[in-house]
Amino acid sequence: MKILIVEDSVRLRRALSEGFQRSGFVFDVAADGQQGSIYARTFEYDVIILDVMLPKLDGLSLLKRLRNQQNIAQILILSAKDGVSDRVRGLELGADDYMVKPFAFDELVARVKTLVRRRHQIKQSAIEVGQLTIDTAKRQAQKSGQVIPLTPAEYNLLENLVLRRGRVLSKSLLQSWLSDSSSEAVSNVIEVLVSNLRRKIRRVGAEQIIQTKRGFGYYVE
Amino acid sequence: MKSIQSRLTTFIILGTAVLLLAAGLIIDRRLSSQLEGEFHKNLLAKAMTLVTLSEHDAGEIEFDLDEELMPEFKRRHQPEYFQLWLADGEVLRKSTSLGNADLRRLNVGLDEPVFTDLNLPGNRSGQAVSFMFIPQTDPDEEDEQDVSGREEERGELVADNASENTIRVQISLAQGREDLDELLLTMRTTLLATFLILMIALAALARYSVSRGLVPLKNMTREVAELDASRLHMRLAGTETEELTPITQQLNGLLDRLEQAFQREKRFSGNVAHELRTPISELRAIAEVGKGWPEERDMVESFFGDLVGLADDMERTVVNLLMLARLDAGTQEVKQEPFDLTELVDGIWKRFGAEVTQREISLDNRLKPGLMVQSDKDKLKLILINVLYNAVSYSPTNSEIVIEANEIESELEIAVSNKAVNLSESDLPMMFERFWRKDQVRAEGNHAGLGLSLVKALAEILNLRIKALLDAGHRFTLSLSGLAPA
Repeated sequence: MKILIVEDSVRLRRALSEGFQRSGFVFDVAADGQQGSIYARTFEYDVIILDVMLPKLDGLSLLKRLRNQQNIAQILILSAKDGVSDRVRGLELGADDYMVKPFAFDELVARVKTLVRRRHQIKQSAIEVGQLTIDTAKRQAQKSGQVIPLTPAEYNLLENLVLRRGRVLSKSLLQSWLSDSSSEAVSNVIEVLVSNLRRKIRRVGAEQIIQTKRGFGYYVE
Repeated sequence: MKSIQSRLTTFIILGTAVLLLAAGLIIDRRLSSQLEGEFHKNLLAKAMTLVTLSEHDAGEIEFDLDEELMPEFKRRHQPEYFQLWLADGEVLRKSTSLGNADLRRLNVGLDEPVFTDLNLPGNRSGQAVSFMFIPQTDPDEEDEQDVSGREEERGELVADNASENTIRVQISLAQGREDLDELLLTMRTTLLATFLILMIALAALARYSVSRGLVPLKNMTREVAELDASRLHMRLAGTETEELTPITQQLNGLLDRLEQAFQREKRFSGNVAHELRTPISELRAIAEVGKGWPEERDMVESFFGDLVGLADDMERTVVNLLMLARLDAGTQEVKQEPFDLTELVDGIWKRFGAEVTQREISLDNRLKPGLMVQSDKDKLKLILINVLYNAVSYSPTNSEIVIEANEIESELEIAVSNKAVNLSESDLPMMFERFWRKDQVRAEGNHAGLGLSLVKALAEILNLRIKALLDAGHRFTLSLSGLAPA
């Protein structure tokens, strides 16, 4: 699961980055519409948080452009414009949600999680896989009430696999979802994470859910 | 309060009443004198008939009237009267209708009829004609005297007789004027009735047409009554009434201006709210993230710098707003004093510290050291802060802002120029609008679009002229002229 934040205010961008990072999200940040457009075209995001008044390319034009490019990310508009017509216009252009500034950080996080579920057509925040329950709201995995202690990266990897059940995901794709796009890739990070995950799942006595498709990547049945 | 309708109606009714009355009087005068004249003519004609009945025959005056043939002289009902006198006053004959009474004998001349009013027996009012005449000589005698020369000499003979005979007879003929009076009465009643009917009809017509004529005014009143602050978009429907068109146009013009002012106010408060929303959302996000992870000391400490910047931004917005409000209210006084402009500019530039360093924007201050000017220092400072802030905000990374001064006809012109890549010619007239901001060219950071509108307002009270220019190389120049050197 990966988020793109397009916001021109330096201070807001910083605060959101700090908060999202500590909430365990993987995300990229763009300072203007053009940069946002390049990011959205290059990487696959689950949710895009979009400001409207942006330099170079305004949020609504970017929104239109993304929808024309068949971008399926859930888009949340975060704008200081609170008029009904502004909201309607944003939603009609293809936004999935609209939040007015100033906003509560916790609410933004909750809405982003909801949008992630919607993106993968999941109604409830808890997903049952085998003997495990993945709670996307609390961002934890449990086996019959027992919480498996996972690092944010391990949880993210598990969530990405569970959200796309049955689909074989390559290491590089998984890698791109696990870190922001500017960080350097460490070649065997996914193998290490998968091995850790399997060990922790085994430790609570649950069946293995992560399968290896040799030469291609990993998947959850 | 005077009403146009009642005034117009009164004028029309009174005016027409006077005219109609005058017309009625003239008609009455003309007709009654005509009728009187006719009456006199008839009276005289009848008297002449009587005259032809009198004959002078060998010294005797004969009056040959058979009252049976002229029953009006003997009937009981409204009879007519005549009386004939000889010159010495002896009554020659009088009508049976007179009985024992006499008509008054007037002192009249020969063949000069005199008309008099008189009271007739039976308390009737009447008119009489009296004159003196010379009775005809018996025509048979004349025939006998001169048959052959009759045709030629008759006039002469009569004249001879007239001069020869001194026998004169006076006649008075009196008739009751009931018919005449009745006719006059009918005429006057008709005139009066016509007058009254016309006046009533006219009053109604005047009321109706005036009120019809005032319908556009009433419509306008109704339309104006419907206007209020919430319906300023409404305009008065143009009437086809020539007199009201200028009023309608003026009112609509006023409404245009009012609506614009209202819209401006609305936009202004909306913009103020919007401008405050952005820093508040930043403040809130910083506070909530900090509160969520208070143990992350590095992060929390790094937020303080942002908070100071936020406070600066909000302070500038509020100072600008307050200054604009004071300028709008006209409560700002201008204090002229000499001061060092170069020093002022350097002082202002120092305040831009962090942002300009980060974006590698530099200021080329080309003002002569110790350049003294005479103006209101605080206001000019606010102008320069905003002009420079504007220049910084719209400058691309790694560029230079130039400030220079030119002396033109013992006045100073200060020009601040900077690169503004995406600004276009059409933006220039709008730049001084409150909260105008070209979002697409806005550099990073928050910039309340109040700065240049404040610059404009301040320049006005300092009597400075302000000009915005964009050259082909996309260099934007804002110049202030009219500054007095000290």
